[in-house]
Amino acid sequence: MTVDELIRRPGAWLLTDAGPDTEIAVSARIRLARNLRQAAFPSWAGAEECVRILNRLRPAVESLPCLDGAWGWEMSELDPVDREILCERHLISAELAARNRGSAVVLRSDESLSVMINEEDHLRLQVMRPGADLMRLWKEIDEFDTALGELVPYAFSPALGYLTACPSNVGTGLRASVMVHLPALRLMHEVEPVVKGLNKIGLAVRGIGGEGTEAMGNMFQVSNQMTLGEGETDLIRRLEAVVQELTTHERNARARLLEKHPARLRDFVGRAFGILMQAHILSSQEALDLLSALRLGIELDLVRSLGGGDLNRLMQSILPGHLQRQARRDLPVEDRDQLRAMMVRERLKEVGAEPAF
Amino acid sequence: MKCQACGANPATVHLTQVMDAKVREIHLCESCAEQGGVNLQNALSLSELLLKIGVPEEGAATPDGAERSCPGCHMRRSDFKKTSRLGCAECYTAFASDLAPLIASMHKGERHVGKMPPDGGGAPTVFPVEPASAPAPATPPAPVGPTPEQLQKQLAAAIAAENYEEAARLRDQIRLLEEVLARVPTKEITP
Repeated sequence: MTVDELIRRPGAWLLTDAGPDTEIAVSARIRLARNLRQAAFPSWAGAEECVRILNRLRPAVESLPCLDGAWGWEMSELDPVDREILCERHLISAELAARNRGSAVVLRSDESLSVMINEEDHLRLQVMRPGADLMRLWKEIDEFDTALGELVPYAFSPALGYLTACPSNVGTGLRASVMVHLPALRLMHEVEPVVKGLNKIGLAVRGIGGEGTEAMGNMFQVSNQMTLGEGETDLIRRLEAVVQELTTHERNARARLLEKHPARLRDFVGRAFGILMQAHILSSQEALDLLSALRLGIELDLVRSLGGGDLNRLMQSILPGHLQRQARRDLPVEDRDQLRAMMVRERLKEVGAEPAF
Repeated sequence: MKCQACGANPATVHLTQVMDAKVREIHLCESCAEQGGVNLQNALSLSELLLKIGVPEEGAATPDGAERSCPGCHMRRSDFKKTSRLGCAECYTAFASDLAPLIASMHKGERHVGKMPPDGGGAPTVFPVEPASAPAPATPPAPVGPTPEQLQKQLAAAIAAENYEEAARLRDQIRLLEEVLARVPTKEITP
């Protein structure tokens, strides 16, 4: 199995057929940080020790029934484009991508369950699915984690919980996040107060690329910051309630736009159409921002002959790693931007997408 | 007021963070604030800041002046300060006094609530206890007596009986016990 085989299909976080449930809350994931009891954490362990730890952990991970037929790669087997593709599919972090021998990723073939070995911690377990059903994700990863815990002695203290390389993850070691698409709130300049409000209750809001990145395509990731002092299910219920509220907020903003500023809304969607249909140079940032406008248009019935699923596939295929692999070579940025513009034009023409106003 | 990071210059930058009804304050001099990249736009940088510039330097060295290090992985205190990442699980015991304020500033609580591994985390650690000046033995060991859970029950009973004086006493006892438990290394809590 090679990374190439992944790129022909949508990632686990994207639905092929987006429904109303995934319109605003696009996808959710939960990751658990776990470490071996008596071994140095990956950043402090030398390369040889990392290899030993990997050789011990990988068979244990792969022996679990829920990872039957899993795929796995040691980072040193992968070229830079492979690594970029795995990052774009949210299967590995930039930190793991920067590592080599002694670090690996193991994933179930549907990509919804994956394990990074020797990233910041010995183990990072992850589940992700479209929508925002965090409780379902928690049940899934909880079971997986318990099964793995039978095979691997986890570093744990009754006072501080699961012990992690960075004290910011100690406790449950759990980070739950939901990706939300908030174009109307952005258009109404209402994202900032929302972010501030969420920060006050201990939740972080980040752009799609993760830490420290600008929001691309109006996608934001809402996640917990604190891992000590609140149980898993309490946190998840709290986060689910917040996402529910955020979804309502965005829906209201859309309704207000439709009612009070219909011209502004049509202009927003129409301009995006115009550029996407005619541009010959498109950066990822610009393309994702414009596709976000199109997504809003689809969801408000302002676009004909283009579904959420088409859009998701298109969005993924124009990311730098996916784009280069499809072109079968490394491309300089200018060539990538031209290829991206061409792919978007062709795809939109192919499905006959057009504004419905 | 002196800067809490360097302890030398007067503190001119005062940061307050309110989270979940907890108020945390930190006072810094200009150069330490700058070193920590204090960004007034970013309300959440307080814990990162503490990570970067460190907190009061108590128990930094062993009595003979040597730098404290982790018996499990030999990470030195200065290594941790540099990377902000610990070397192994044992570091949580070795650097308990450095970590306590950091963890308190980062998290909702100071004690784990939630899942436990199937084996309950295994036997207490095998590494030797540090010299007498180390923070762990310096704090009184967790009292061998009621657990916080038992006290909570007594507290509930006292409130139900409207015995508020007793309730207040129990509440303070619980708080103290939890503080001690959070600071004391794990081996002293496991029965």
